[in-house]
Amino acid sequence: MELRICHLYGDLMNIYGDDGNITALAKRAAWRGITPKVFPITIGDRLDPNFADIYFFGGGQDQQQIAVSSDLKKVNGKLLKRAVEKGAAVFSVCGGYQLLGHYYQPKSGPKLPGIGLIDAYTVAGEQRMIGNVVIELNRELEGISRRRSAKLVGFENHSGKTYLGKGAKPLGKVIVGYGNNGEDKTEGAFMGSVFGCYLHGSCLPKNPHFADFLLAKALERRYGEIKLKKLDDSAEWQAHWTILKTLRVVR
Amino acid sequence: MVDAEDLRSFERKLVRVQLSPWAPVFSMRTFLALALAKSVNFALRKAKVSGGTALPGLLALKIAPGFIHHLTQNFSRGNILVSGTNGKTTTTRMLATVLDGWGIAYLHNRAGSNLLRGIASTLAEKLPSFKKWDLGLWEVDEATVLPAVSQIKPKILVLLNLFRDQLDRYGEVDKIKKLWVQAVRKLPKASILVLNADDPAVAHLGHNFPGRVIYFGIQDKKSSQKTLPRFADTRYCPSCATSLSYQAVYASHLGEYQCSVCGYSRPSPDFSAASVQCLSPVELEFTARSKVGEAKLKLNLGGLYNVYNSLSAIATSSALGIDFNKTISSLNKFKPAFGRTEEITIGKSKIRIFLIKNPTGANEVIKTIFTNSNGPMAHQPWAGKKNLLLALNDKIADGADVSWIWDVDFENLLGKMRHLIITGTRARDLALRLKYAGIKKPDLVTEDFSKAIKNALKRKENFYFLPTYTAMLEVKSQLNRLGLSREFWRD
Repeated sequence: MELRICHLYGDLMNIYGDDGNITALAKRAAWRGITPKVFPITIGDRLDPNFADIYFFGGGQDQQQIAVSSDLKKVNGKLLKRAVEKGAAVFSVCGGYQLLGHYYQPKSGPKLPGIGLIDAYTVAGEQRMIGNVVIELNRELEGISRRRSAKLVGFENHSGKTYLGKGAKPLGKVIVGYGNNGEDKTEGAFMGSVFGCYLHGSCLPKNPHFADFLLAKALERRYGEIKLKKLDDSAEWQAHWTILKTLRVVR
Repeated sequence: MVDAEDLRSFERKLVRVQLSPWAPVFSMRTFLALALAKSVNFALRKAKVSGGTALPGLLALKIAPGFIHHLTQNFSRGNILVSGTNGKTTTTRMLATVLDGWGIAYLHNRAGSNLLRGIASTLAEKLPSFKKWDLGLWEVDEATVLPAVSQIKPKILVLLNLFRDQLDRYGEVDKIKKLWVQAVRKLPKASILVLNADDPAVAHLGHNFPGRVIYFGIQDKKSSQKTLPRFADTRYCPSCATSLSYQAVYASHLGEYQCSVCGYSRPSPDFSAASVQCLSPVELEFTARSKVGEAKLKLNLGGLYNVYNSLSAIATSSALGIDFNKTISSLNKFKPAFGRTEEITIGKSKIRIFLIKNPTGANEVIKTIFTNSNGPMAHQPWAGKKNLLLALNDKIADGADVSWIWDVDFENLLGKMRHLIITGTRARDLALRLKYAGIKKPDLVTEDFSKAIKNALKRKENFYFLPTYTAMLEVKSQLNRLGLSREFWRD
């Protein structure tokens, strides 16, 4: 069994340690005897919509986000949409998440077009939203194990405020932090198999239930429904729970 | 009896002596601020409060915003500001060693607070005085360069490098770059810029500067890596944003580069390093080359990053007019700062401290630790397993966001450790990172520093201690209690 991960623009959108998400998916597959393969896509490359099981799109700086948006507009945006239609999953963080929406409106200058895979748009805010984040997973998110925790933990660092449209559901409700826009207490979004959020940290290593959920979704594309072998996640849960305790979300 | 004439001439003399190290324009506010700061300083020392080196300055600045400006304008040789993501403390201390060797009297915010309040505190402590100070030597935080340049108008501005660090504080690396562009614009034309030619973003700052620019860089293809590391951030042309192509990569995005689109390329360094040899984690040799000649340096420090630090010190010394050979001989005697490869002996254990703060720094430290006479670990087989004590804190001075540990190649530690102990407020995050690096279970993971230290010491073996900044302070204070390390602010 194989897991094909496509790392979108990893050479440009790599400033916040989000590569840890690729590490988490790859290792959690490998530990179960599934061979992970990571394929990078960068500006000028052409995405193959039939190939990857899951796409990862991380966070970057404004300059790089502009360059990537241009490239997506050419042909890769459409190809990514086709890949999703064919069953691929997408996980995006911060800048990547913003680019999956309809557009990003910077403080000055024209709108930066997104792909429109998630029904959402982002507007540059006055204040930078920085700090630890804890969210309660949206009850409508099915298939994720809530046995050890029904929360996600991470760290956010963004000035963009994302607002969800009717088609997108929030990934969770903010307990600590700002979330999507610091106003409506939502954080992240999902539509079908496309997921986005503002959680750095990196996100997946200390939210192993979410990592396994995405892993299963990715493998579903070619292998159908998979029951993943249980792993010893004591280190993961210790990291997860220590943060919850430090932030006084739990005692 | 003293008559009026005598009194006036006596007062004139008194005023001249007292005011000579001060600025000619001297405001009442600055005077009051100085008086208050000195009282607070005295009170803190009496109360034996450790590390209170920034409070007096903070208060002074609140009262007198012109405090730093007034008190730094009367040095005969002006002021030097040193900044960069990695290496500021070591470089500033190297310069201090050179200045000591040359007999120049200088003020220096040695105890480590490199914010404006730290500079203000140092000024408040040392001024006024009957001693005539020739120079102000200031280590400055990256985000503080702009206000520091505005207030101090330094003779020399040294910029070492720009890496991703504490993004939760800065937002983005580009933000710091923009601040530096503004800072360079505020520099007087008579000032001198000392810049790292090997860092594209930093070198570019000299492009339109009307004054004198001195570049330093490594010129040693043998030390070059094959490709840009995964975590390298600034590999885009500062002129046209295209991806740069590199003929040599020395560390992270530092190297010999060129833009194929607009032709922007690495400026030729005025001071360069050749024949670089990393002999051990604490020994480095290279040949420093300049227009006036070349000389061999044998430093009591390891790591390629210290080649850059010493080159910048050599370049800056030359800008001051200090003899090249004298600079070299001073640097050969250099002793590193607390926490920057200091070695502490406790019983049978030697502990070597290497500070880690961001991916580039941490990766270089890992390479350096496993350096032996065949060279840094990246190129040659390593020599023997080491014991590591890692400490990750997330306090303000460390950076609250620990995501950066996922961009450190801890995989390079695989199979090279005997004992591994992890501590710090974010010990669990670091333990998780190492698990994903494929590293075997640590001997101990605990947020309790004293437990971690005791566990390390009971093994009676040598340890490499890799802490973030406040974790290092914490451990140092614990070791102080064991009576084994110098108080940091007397260092």
